[in-house]
Amino acid sequence: MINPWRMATLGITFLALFTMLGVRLWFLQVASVEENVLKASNNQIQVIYQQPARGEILDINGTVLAGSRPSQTLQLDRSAVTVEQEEELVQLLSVLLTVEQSVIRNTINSAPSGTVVTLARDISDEVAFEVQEYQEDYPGVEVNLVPVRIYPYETLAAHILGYTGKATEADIERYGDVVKTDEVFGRAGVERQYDNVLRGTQGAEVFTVSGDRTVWQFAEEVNTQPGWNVVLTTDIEVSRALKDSLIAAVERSREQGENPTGKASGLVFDATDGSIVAMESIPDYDPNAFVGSLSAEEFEVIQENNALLNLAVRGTFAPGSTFKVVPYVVAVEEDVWPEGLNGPESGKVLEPRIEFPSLGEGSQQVFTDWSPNHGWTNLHGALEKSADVYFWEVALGVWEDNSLDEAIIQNWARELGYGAPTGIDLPGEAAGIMPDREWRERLHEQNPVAFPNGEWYGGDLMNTVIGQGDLAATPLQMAVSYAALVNGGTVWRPRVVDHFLDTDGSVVDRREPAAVRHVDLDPETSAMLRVDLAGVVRRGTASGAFAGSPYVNQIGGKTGTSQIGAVADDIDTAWFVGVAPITSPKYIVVIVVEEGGGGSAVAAPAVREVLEYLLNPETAPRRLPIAEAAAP
Amino acid sequence: MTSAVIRGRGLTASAYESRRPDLILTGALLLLGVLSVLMIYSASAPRAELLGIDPAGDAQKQAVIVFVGLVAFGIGSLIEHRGLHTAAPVLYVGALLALAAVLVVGKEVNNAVSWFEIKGFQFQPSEWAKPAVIVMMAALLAPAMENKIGWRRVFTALALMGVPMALIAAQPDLGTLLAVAVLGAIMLFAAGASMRQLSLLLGSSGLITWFAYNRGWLSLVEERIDAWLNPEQNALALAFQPLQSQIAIGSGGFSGRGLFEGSQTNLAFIPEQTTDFIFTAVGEQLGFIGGALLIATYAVIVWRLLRTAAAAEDRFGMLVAIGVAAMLAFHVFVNVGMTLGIMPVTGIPLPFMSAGGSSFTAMAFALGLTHSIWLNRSKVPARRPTIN
Repeated sequence: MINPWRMATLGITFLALFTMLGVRLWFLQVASVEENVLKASNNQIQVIYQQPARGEILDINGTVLAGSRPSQTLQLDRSAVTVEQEEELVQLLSVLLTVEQSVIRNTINSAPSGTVVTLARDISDEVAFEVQEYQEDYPGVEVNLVPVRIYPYETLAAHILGYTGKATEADIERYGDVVKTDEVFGRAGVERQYDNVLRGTQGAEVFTVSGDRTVWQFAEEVNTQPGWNVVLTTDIEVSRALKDSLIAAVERSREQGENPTGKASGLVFDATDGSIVAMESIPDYDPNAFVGSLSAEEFEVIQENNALLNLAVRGTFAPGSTFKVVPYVVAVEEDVWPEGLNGPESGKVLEPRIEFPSLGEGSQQVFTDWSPNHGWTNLHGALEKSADVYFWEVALGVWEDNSLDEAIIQNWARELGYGAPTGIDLPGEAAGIMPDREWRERLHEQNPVAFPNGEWYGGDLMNTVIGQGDLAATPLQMAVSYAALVNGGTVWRPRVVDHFLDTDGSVVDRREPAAVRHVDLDPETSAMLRVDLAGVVRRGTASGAFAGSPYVNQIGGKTGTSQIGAVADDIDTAWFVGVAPITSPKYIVVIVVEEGGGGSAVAAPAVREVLEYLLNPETAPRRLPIAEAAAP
Repeated sequence: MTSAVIRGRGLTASAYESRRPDLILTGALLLLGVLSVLMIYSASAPRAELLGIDPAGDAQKQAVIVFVGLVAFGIGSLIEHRGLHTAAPVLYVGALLALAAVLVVGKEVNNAVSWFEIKGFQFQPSEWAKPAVIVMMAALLAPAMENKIGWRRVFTALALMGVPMALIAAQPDLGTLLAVAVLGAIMLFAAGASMRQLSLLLGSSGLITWFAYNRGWLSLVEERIDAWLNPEQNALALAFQPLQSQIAIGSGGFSGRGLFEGSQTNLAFIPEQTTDFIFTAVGEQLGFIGGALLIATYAVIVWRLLRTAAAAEDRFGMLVAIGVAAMLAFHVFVNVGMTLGIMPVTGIPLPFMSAGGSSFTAMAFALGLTHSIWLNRSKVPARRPTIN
């Protein structure tokens, strides 16, 4: 019959097989049960995320500066197709969109399976028709109207608005896995600063799905909350006037034989509440270029010009004579006067070339005024004529008076907003430099190689009081400090955003004007400065630029021509700070043209244009009450 | 015998005893039949209900099949195995004709032509081919002696296996093909083929497989094996079912989620949940207890079949019992192994559990034949005569 060992072999083999099944069953059901229970529950859940509409950015009058337009977009629902179908689609779409197969494959694979991926934006009607007409050839492919960011004013106010872009590694790290590849993030300016507000809350629909991914049951919904609309303090028409003036200033500087770098910046600042009315810089860029995909070459072109840089906030320049208002105020408030003088009214004939032996060894001893012929000059005249020697003598008074803090001028400047970020609600603000002995020593200690000289000399102070040397300030810092000086001492924290609206148009939050500090400034000093700033425009260094202006009596200001380094004067940077109306100041207009030449010839006419625009009842900014602005 | 004497019964009594049915085998079959109906109901009802189909439809159909299967078992039990021996060539040729016919007039399902459809009833001839091959092989190998099977007989046996295997390969039905090969090899082993013969056969089948692999004839098999070895890369395609099946079984835990419960089965993450993957529903709903008991039940049946083989009156009966045991063990191991991820996916049913009439009735009939062998077993196990 059957040999017993053959029977035993069969019996043992069968027993071994059944034992293997039992052991494997134990492993799955007892040893790794928790893992499998988790997998089973994850399995049956599908979450469909819904992108909220990004909030709009409006100017103070309700004009849309950043909005959305519907874009005919080709999308693929990956949950609706198999891997094989996707491969067929890659070939079909490559022909349809005339794009390389590998590009389409990469696009599809960039999105997790089961999600919707954008294949192409702004497709032609022909492509849309083809896909819709032959839907059976394009399974899972949809033509959808997807909102796309649009900046109707293009380059205007671009540096305030910023731009948006797709999620980066950093965003995914910050927000976690919920970030979808199509989601848009603010990259600069208000878009970035207020990204959380503009983006709204992502919604989600949670479904129970079956094995073939068909929806079985609706489980849960997290409502999508659209982003808030952000209303700026700015006025797009003023922006236009400012931008035109900046471009004209650069042109003018070229006509005068200067060789400007093409960099110019300006802003209109409200001295009564710290709002930015307009802020422009050139070179500029069109934020629409960043919508969709910007090629590496295009991005490089923009980067090369530094066009993305908001110079008003991030650019630092030596302020030149515009800084003289600071020693002006120090002279009055601290009672420090040039030798032989005892007040603002007393004056003397100023020597154009002056030697200060008391500045000590190692320091520059001889200083030469920019003008050889100032004649008899008191404080008022010193500002009007921008007489370097007068302020040098004030600085010398500080240097020689041991009862005074050596850095009293710099301390005043810092109180007024120099040397530290102003706190504006825009990203990447520069701090500028307010140099003194302590600053110089700190630099030397930190990096002795780059800064071999840790000494602070009297000559350094001389350079500082006329806005030269190491002193560097942003146009925004100039505006903030001038506003504080003419408004009686309030140093505003500048703001570009005024309030937020929900989709119904009601105000949900407000950024109230906020002062950083109040400088203890005698109102009479402030009033006297206003008169002298008006004098600059009527009789002084800016009188030529403002000659014939119908608003000349309402305007004050100060010119500035800063030399970079101690080289030739063809690299002068032109400044002008205008104030109007000078009797009760509201607008501070700052314009700087890098290497543009003289402040009076290049910058002052530009400021005049902007101020005339602001002061003309026809063109003056109309700032509507909020209720009205909120209406759609 | 001795026990009968101790109990004070005579020869007549012991002869009567030998006619007593194998209650363990019959009980195991009944248990599987009932469990089959229950599990098919449990695995299909919640989904059918949501789809608006009769939730008990599949289960009712299976209940009828189980009933017919039990009848087939009864008929098999009544067939006197000497008569079966005589009828073996008829059965075998009938099976070959059916296999050939299905290739011509069969219905294509899932890229394979394995089914006849006659007035709504489906019939799968390959399920019946397996018992036919077993009976025919047994008839061929019964006259041979341990270690004295001539090469002519071995080649005849290979030809008897080869013809139906070729027809099954044409469908194609890889699982059944392998089942026939394995049960044939085991029967040759049990019949007493010499080690030399067996190693030569093993070696040459290895060579043939290697040749077929190189010619690219096994690309479908390769895909399956690749999916089995690298499930993560194939998670959405070929490895979807086994991965989901393992999750389902694993999530059942020790005591299961309960009948009609279990998201994997109910939400159709397991395709073929009432047929090839019915064990998955058992694992998910009845847990380790249910799954282990089910495997144990099969082990008990195989044990009874081996016992039948040992007690068989003649070599023919012994070989039929071994063949049926091998067929059953192969099906259980490959099917359950597939749901557990230790075997690649092959579409063969779980005996007496998977929904489907052909498999159940053919298997039950084959089990009935071995039962008949048990009923007519030798009264003195140690000294059984051989026929021929």
